[in-house]
Amino acid sequence: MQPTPPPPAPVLLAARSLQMVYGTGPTATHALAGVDLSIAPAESVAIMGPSGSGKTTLLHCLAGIVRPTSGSVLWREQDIASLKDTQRTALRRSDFGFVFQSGQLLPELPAVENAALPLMLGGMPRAQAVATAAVRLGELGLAGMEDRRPGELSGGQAQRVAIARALVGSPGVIFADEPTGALDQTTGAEVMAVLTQAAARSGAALVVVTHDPTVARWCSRTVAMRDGLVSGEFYAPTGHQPTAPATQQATAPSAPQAPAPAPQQAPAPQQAPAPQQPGGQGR
Amino acid sequence: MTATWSLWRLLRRRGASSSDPQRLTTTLAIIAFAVATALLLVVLGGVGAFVDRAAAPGADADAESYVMFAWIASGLLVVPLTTLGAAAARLAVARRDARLAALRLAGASTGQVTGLTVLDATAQAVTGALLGVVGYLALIPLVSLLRFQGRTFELAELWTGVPIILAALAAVVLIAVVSSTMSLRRVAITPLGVANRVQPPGLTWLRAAVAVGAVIVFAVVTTSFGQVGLSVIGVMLVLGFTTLNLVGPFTVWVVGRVTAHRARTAATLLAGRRMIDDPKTAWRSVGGVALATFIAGLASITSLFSSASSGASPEDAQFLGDVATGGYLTLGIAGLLAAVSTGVMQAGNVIAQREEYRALSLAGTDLRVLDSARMRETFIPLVVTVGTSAGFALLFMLPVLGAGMIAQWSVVVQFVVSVGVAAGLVLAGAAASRTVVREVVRV
Repeated sequence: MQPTPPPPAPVLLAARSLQMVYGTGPTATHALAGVDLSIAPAESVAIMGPSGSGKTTLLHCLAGIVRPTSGSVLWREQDIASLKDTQRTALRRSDFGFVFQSGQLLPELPAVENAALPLMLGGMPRAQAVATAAVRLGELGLAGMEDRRPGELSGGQAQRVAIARALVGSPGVIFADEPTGALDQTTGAEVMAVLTQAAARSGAALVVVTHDPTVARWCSRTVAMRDGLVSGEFYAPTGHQPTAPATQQATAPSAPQAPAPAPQQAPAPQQAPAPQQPGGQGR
Repeated sequence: MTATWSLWRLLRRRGASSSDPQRLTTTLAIIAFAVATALLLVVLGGVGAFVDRAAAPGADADAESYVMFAWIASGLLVVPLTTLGAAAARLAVARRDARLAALRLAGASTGQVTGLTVLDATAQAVTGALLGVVGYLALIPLVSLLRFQGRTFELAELWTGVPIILAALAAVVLIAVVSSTMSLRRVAITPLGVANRVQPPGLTWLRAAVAVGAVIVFAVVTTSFGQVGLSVIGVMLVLGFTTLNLVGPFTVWVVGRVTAHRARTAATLLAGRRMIDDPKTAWRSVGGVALATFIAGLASITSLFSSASSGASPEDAQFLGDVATGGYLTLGIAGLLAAVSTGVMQAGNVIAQREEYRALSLAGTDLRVLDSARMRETFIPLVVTVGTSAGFALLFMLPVLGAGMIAQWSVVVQFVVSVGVAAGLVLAGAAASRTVVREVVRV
């Protein structure tokens, strides 16, 4: 554990005095109550907190999915909170990658076409998009599974296809919302190993929303949230990463493996139930 | 049963708030049941009117033929009507899959889950069917303006009577119950309710062989057309319809494979893959219109002989003109049914894939791409099947037109415009599902 932050790095993505309020008057809920956060290029950040702490809302604001009530989100020094919806949509497609808990692969498309989708949506010719996606799948240990449908893949394999899709457009940052939430612990560790290593290889920053400390340990920094505010930040020792299961190490040979660290200081222990956010937030 | 009834009432109360997206599917399903019931009763009312006219003292010699054609037209509409009812029932179930799977996990028995579904579908079907009866009553004055046998219909002629209305209500509810139960099987089988999508099995070339055989039989029978009666024509049409329903999905599957293979954009690729994935659903959307197009084409030929210049007697001219009107009417009703079916089926698909839609939307996918994929999923089979039907119908027309009746090109124009309108209705139905997409991706 390294209790002090490393030297200041250039800022890729930043939240400044971010507030998000749902509802008005006495029933108003402050999902974000003034969040400040900076993310450096190629940095991996876990956003942790109990249900209703505002972590998913923060991810949605950082990714330009929703517009905050006040404050700014700076992506490469441009305030994306002030962009129009169509501009934010285009930005998400071109600059960001996304991995969700489940439900992100189209069941009618084989794995390689699912992974190629963002490139085709961006106007790349199909053959080139499919070839690029096939290379990504191969890098993630899915060579030979290109033509399988999502229903013919295991949960871990499906998540790797989703990771390939998130990475295929060489995004600057990957947002992952509970990426292992639907997986068992071993498969979850495999997926986190693939995700962090693949993001590092491609030079993308990684923002992971999770309530699971074992998932957060894969990131270089953990931001703890409580009641819509950042309640603490924890840095992992430089160069450390948990050990991935043996099956995974074969698929991600370029990533450095290190002995498993001692358990981290648990960020934001769940002392009291936080209020639920409205509108299905904080899933 | 008591427990199921109590549970259903509880869930119904809980699901009734205005913020529940389930309301949207409920509304759509009820509209679909209402349209199906109203049009079913209109068609039955029409058949009844011709039966009454044929039974009346001093009926024309052609009166029995009118009854026969009315039954044929009704027969053609049975499948689109059933399809619409089934689509409505599947939609009623679509949104409930997750909830019912959760109930199974919580310990509900297969019987209870099935019971809940049947109650849901029945409630919606009964509501829709009752609204459909109101719609039928509202349509009667409009339908009475149609001229057949040289006169418009009396309102009383188009009134089916209470027993028929009750039978129609029962039929609609039965379709709803059967379809919803069948579409729920996977939830009932496994508490996880997971619909694993795997490589869909390809449709066999046997279907194509059946089509070739049917065409040969049809050719042999039609060459001896002079010797066969109307009943044989009716049987041939039913056989033709059955054959089309075998061959149609196969055609859509082949077209889907070609589309997916040649696709350059994401929208076309998605449309092609979906057609391969479920060619039967794609066919259901367009099949009724395709067949009605062919029938309307054949019927419109008869109108060529109804003009004074054709040399037909006034009685024959009137009969042939009426056949053409009936053909167009069938096409119109088939188009309307297909439009509602397509809208309902597409809405059901969107709801079933709401998580994928939401994930794609969050990842920056322009919703217009997904809209475009759904439109192409309907448009491509529509163009292929309706285009083929219209092409064959025009092939039948051309020799007749070539026989010194160039002045009758207006018939071709009328036919093409009618087909265009029917196809437009179907596309409008597909476009209506956009609202559902906006609803399900809302963050």
